[in-house]
Amino acid sequence: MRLKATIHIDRVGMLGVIVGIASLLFPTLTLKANRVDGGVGYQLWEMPSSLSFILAIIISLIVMAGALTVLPQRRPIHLTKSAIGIAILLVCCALLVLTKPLVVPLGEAGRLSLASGLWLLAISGYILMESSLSSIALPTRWLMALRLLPAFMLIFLVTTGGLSHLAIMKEFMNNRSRLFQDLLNHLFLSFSAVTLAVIIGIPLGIIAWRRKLFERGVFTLVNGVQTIPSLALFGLIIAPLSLLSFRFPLLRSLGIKGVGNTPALIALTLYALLPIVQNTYTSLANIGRPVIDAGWGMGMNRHQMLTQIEIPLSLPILMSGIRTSLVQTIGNTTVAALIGAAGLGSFIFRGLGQASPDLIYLGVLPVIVMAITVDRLFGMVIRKISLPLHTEALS
Amino acid sequence: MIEFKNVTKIFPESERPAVDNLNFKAESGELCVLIGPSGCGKTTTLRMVNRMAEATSGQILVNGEDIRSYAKEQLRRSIGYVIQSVGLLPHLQVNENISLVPKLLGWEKKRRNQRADELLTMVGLNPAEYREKYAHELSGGEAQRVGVARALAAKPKLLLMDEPFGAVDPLRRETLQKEFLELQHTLGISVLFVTHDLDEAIRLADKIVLMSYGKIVQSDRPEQLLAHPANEFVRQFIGADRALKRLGCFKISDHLKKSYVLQHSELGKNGTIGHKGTRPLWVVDRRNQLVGLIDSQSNNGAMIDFPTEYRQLNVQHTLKEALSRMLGMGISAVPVVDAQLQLIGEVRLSDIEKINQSGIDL
Repeated sequence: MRLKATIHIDRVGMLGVIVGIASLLFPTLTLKANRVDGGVGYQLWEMPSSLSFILAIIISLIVMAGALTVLPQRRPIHLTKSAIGIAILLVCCALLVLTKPLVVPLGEAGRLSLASGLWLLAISGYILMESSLSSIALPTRWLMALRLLPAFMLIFLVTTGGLSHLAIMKEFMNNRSRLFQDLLNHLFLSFSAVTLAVIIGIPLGIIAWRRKLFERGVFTLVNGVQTIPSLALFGLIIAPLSLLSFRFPLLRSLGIKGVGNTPALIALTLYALLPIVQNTYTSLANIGRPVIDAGWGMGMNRHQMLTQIEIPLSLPILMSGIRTSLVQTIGNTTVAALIGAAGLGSFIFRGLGQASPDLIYLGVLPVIVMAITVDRLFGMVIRKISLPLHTEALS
Repeated sequence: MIEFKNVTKIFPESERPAVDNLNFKAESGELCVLIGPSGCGKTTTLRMVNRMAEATSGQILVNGEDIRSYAKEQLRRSIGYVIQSVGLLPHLQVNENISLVPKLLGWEKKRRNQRADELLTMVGLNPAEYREKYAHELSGGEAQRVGVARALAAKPKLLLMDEPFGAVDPLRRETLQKEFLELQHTLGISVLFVTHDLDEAIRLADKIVLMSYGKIVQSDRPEQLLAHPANEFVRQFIGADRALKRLGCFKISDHLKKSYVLQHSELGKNGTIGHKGTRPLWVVDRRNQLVGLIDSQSNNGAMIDFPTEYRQLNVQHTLKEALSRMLGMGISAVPVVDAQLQLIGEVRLSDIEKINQSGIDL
């Protein structure tokens, strides 16, 4: 008889459980009488008794998940764990809807803010779902559907007005047109900066690879930019640009000023350069002497070399550089609001100024969604074009 | 035919010429091997032929025409090129890799695919199985076969090979060499071949060009090079066992002698026949296939069984392989068979001794 059974602890799942337990210790929702009210935090067990069954469900889900993380990890266990993760996310949605009666006594201006406990609970559900989903051999389409299920639930609730009592929804309704405008500007600024970085970065990468003489110079430059904190870089650009703009009225009439979109675009482009230059260089270095040698030896001319060997072989790594650059730029563009550039950063800084976390969420959430969407889309494209290459270096 | 006339190559970053006033000629249909220690300029010499390296001075003629009278691309497409690291394009399937030069030459797709299948068969790979594979799905030997097929795709008259079998394991290397030699004879193409492996050079070459410090030290047929080394460097390079290596240059077909045969059924009850001669007798069965030998010196004149490799020596093998078998069993002759493993004659130790006594410098 074997006395010692081997225990396979699912560490990631365990983390999800710990976060879930922690979520119970923090206030889940904050009840506010109006927009500027500090509000009263509610923990789960302080909710009206009509909602106590939710607490019971959450506790039992977390306990079940905890038990599953120490069992031998097999397919049914993985399935159950991800189901629990999805269930926790759905319970979060349910909690939001069911707390609507709480604000009724406070009148028209009353609202509920999401507090740390709820965020932690959602994170715990997400960790449990993701940690196990990736271990299940299901068709990609099915996995995608499962992942998006809680998100669809949320979208459904938002569109049907089930969440209209939430502070973030009230802020959204008040700032709708501004938010969409800022979102478009944010995207436009990010994509412009990355487009410029692609136009400048690819030739720089090629030069660095072709001429060893320039290699050090190019990389010192693009690495150097990365070491400057983004705030400082935005600030640094203001002075010379205002000077130029005052000297040459033509620039001014084109809208180029010390503050606003122009300095933001310059700074963002500079930041976006490194991943693109770096990956252009790596992708070319990765092609390998023998393939290049064979290409010339077969009698390819410069053009054929470029279109039949260099571009198809370097594209996957190059694309993942653009991916990194774009995701990073979408985040950086938020900070650019500080120097007057358009974008979702304005919501965040307004929220900070007015001590209104809901306004901050309103700016942050679309940025996160954009970054993740861009990342996933590029991931799909890259996987498609690198299929026959078998390059392990690609994620 | 390739001819080098006073060819010199000096790389910009070096003072000493990589190739120093080279003059030699390889005839049409010949397999000419460039050999020498690393850094002797053999690869540079090869790469100057398809202008992957440009000669600093001098002239290179292919089939009587200066290679500089063509555009580089045009020249390269007309010359096959095989390198040690193969250099298959990882994003293309095997048949697309083979079709590279035909595609550059503007062949139609149907004709290209047909040619690719033809070549796969020629290099011993089943087209149905291999045509759609990618480079990372091939073993080293398979990749190199595809590399050879790719070089032959547009029916070049000249093939340049830079240590093509260097990265393949020794067992497969020998098979590849043998098959390549047959292929080269069937196609009748000229080959310029770079290697640092002397055994490979002896096995393949019609002519060996031994280089050192960018100069030709000696250029001759393999058996002549081994028999008459021009100087101390050549002696050092070919080694003290050159007499033995030289036997690898002689085919058994040129030294086949009549053999004395005994039917297995003629043997006495105890397997002996009272054979008193000094020469071994080969015992064959009814189909004329070898069973064993009878040697008066050993086993009291009873029949000795043959190990497998002794039943398979044919006229394509070399005297070196024959001698090795004689030494292995301590006998003064070995039997030779045809493709059906039927006995057709023998090779004798006395003939081998004569070859080395008459033709070799001490």
